[in-house]
Amino acid sequence: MKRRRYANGPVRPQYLDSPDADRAVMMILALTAEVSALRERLDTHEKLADAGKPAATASVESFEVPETVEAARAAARRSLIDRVTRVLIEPDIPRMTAKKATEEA
Amino acid sequence: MPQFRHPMLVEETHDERSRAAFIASLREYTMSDLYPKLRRHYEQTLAPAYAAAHGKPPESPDRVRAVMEGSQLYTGYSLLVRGTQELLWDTLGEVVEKQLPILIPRAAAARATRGTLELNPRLPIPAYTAAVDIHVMPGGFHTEITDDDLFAGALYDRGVHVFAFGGLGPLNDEMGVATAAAVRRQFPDIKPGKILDLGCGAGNSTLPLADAFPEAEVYGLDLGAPMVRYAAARAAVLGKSIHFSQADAAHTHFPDASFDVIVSNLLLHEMPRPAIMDVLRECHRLLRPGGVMLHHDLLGWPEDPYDSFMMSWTTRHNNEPYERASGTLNFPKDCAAVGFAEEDVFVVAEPGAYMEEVYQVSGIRGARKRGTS
Ligand SMILES: C[S@@+](CC[C@H](N)C(=O)[O-])C[C@H]1O[C@@H](n2cnc3c(N)ncnc32)[C@H](O)[C@@H]1O
Repeated sequence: MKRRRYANGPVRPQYLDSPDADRAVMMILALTAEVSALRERLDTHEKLADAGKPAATASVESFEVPETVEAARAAARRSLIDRVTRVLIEPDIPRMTAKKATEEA
Repeated sequence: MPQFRHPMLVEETHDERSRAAFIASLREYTMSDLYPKLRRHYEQTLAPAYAAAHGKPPESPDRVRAVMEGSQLYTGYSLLVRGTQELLWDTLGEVVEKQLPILIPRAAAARATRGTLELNPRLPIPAYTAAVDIHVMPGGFHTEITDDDLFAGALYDRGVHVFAFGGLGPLNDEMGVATAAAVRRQFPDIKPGKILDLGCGAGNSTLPLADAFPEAEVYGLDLGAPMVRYAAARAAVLGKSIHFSQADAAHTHFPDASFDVIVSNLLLHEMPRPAIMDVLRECHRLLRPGGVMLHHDLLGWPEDPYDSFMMSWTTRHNNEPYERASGTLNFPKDCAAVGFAEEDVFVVAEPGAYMEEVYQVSGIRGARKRGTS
């Protein structure tokens, strides 16, 4: 059994100045998913502890996430995404060069 | 809203659920936040700057492209959407592949309980779909990676829920529900004996037909064997008896005048124009006199240069090369060319269109075949 891990069709479009930079961003996305998953696992441990239960593998795996907890997690995912993607989606505003800034100072 | 956990849905561990939830959050962020933000940025900053330099705003989609490609916000948006799409299939694909040894026998057992499945291992996969993995989904809808494979079907059912961040409902069926409701409401005189769903995929839109027309025999067909194997098992565990088959919607194995109602959901935008014409012709052949076809998909293509440019984003960035073909049909004329009467072509003004804020030009349209049965 071997699923393919790339799609047939046209080459991946290039976004940043080099395809390597694009790859690095995609790797960061995958890593951020992992950070988020770790954070949620930790949160499950805490919720179990709050309820006085041991955080054994089975109780972590079978933990039913209450709606309020899921809402808090969704908000946390959202802030994580905001922080990680900030520089990637900066609006286009006119910037001063460092030289000009020094001259003006 | 979380996806309904029926027995054919891939099971996820704690961490796998969290990864999927993160990807859904990324999708929601790019579509609900960045997409409108990009429009505001274009309207308030990029277009005025262009107009100041050229004396008029960008007047064609190509001009909009040039402006947008110089924008960091657009570049970042595009990279994020593309990156999210690749991450989605790879992350969920890992889980589905791991579970095939459980899902495959479970599916076989489920299919034995109700409904039917007809495969055609010799079915030629048309070049237009074999060459391009639509939606950047590795292997597309038809590739088989093992015996009795359902990988693509299981992946699509889970993937579309994450992709739409739950927006198609717990059973991914809101489009299909809207299509079935449109048949009922627009054609109360039709009491369908047999209904066919073209390009049924995982059967998400097929089951609502069985709910809306409990008396009818419902059929679904798809090019991909893994899609219909999964669809048949999913339908069975959800308690629906449906006839699935592996077939090309453009050239099916059914006899003339077999169906009272034929529908498709999100099929036509995946086909180039000649194939769309073949599907419309096939619908005319398969319908009984007085029967109707309804296609839930793009209704047109935006005039506005910005909207037109943004509509074509998926063509280049999400491997959807034929979107424009379905959006630029001359639907009444094209239906007339295959045997329908132009006056019998209709558009259903209907909510429930797919991701309305993004695809403002989607909805249901179709034609009724002349005559009475
Ligand atoms: C985006 S999916 C939509 C699935 C389903 N209609 C739904 O609403 O969930 C499109 C489906 O159309 C199928 N398809 C594409 N071309 C086809 C053809 N020529 N004949 C039959 N199915 C086709 C694909 O295999 C895929 O499963």
